[in-house]
Amino acid sequence: MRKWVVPITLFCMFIGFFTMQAIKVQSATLAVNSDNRNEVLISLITNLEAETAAQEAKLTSLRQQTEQIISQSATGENQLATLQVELFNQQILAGLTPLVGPGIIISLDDYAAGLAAAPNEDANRFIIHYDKLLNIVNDLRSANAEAISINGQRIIASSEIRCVGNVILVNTTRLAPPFLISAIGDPAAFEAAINSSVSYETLRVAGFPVSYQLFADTAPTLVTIPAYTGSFPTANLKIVEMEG
Amino acid sequence: MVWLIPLLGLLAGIMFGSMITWSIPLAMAKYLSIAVLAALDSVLGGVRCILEETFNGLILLTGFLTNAVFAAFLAYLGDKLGVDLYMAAVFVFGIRIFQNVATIRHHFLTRILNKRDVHATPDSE
Repeated sequence: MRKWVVPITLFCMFIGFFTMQAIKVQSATLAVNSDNRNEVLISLITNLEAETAAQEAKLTSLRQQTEQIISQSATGENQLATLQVELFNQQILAGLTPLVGPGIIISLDDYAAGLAAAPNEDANRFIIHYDKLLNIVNDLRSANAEAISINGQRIIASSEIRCVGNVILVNTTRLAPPFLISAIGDPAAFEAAINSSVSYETLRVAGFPVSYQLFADTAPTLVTIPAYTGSFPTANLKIVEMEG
Repeated sequence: MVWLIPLLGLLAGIMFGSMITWSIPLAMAKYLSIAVLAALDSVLGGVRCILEETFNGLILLTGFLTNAVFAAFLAYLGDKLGVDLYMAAVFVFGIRIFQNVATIRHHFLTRILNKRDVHATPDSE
């Protein structure tokens, strides 16, 4: 056996082993492309939405039970009746009851005609982004809106308006254009708010199909706002103990 | 056929490397490719030395270790500085690999064509 055989063989084994390892690592990197991840995310969202629907159905039946219990025990003492009124008011404030009243319905849609006329432009310039919805909802709130919903999703204290990829989520539910923002409150205040809303004005000037309709107190039809159907996360809540 | 033993070693390494399920973490991939290049450079340099009959196992080993360690250090420093310093190592190893292959080819050609002594100095490329 010549003296070079062992070291050269060892080096060859080393090269073979680590080349295969490098190839493996590289192919693993290539396999994880964004398309795969998107598909995984889409299936995840679909599954979660089905789960949300099931949970909402359960919540609805439980709330009906609660209402039954409330109305059944309405024959009780005076104190209990006061508490029930209080509970009912709290449910209204929490957004658990559908409401009707005077107000405004704002309609916002993607600028499809603009995109068709300029197909080479960035498509992002012709769609409604979540920040527009958020700003307009804030404008309505500044005009003392008492109840707001977007495309049937009630906006409550914990509602989010956020952007995930190319969809807008409100109460973790996907929304698609056209967006209808309904609000109950003083129509005159709403009109003033929407006329001074930067987001609404930006969309209108850019040519987006946006419009609003006011519903006065005396109108034949009023604005209807649906109830919130989701759940309330309370896992980490603790009530602060009163002193004294 | 003593030449077959290193080739069998290479095959064994390839088989072992593709069979085991464990793989090197992604962060080390850059260092891994440099290590492979350094080893390839060392082996070809070793083969050239065998043909020139100046082979020394210790020189081969220390050459490989210093090259690999210094290249890994360059890659690490490059990562920290945001400069692809490891490209310098890849570049140098690449050039040396080609030079070694050329020298080895010259040796074989000299042997086959001229049936001359292996000691003959190869012409410059």
